[in-house]
Amino acid sequence: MTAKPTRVTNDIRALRFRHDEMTQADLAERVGVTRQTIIAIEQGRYSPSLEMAFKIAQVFGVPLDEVFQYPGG
Amino acid sequence: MYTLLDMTSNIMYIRPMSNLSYTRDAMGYKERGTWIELLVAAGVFVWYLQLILRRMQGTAIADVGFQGPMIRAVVISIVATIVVHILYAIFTGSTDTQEDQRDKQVSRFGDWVGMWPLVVGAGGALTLTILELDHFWIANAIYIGFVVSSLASSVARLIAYRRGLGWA
Repeated sequence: MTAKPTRVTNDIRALRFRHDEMTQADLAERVGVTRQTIIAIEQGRYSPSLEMAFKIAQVFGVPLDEVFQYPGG
Repeated sequence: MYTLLDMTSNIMYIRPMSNLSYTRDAMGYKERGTWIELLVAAGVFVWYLQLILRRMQGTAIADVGFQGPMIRAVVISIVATIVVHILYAIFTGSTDTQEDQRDKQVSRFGDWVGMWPLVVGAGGALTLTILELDHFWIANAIYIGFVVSSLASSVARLIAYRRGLGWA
């Protein structure tokens, strides 16, 4: 059972696979965070700061709302 | 194997920790450090408590020699935390010491949780001083405040690492 403390959802996992099956470790290194933080974001256990969210979107070369979604938004 | 670590993990509603390779892969440097701090703080406190309880038997409180064990407990806590960190790195080959934004947020949350037992301990010690009780009670009220603060802070950080900060 995994707790979902945030309503923010994301497509990081799908985006990683679409980008040559990028590993969590690769993404973490490019964003400048630990792999555990990428795991926590993917699983919805942690909401990144706006700056970190933009960095993640930049790595994939897509707009922010293609990575993160908020229900009703 | 159902170890003490697994039992603790279950109580805290987090994933079992008995597999060291799991801890190396799934835990960051700071989370691992929090586990070490928690276990060392709990272990040293149990050691101190049993020593003091034995010394209290048949002795007037004012005559119980608590100073030596208390100083040793504080020193052992600091040294043991460092040594366990080093041993863990040697045995698992982990050299990761990275800390990021999430670690800092979790740490701040842990500090906030840990502040309250410290306030209660200090308030208790102040009350005991006003009531002019023995140094034994005053010193131990402060010491227990520190220990409970450390334990509460560690537990809060570990839950935040596993369940996120949204519930906090």
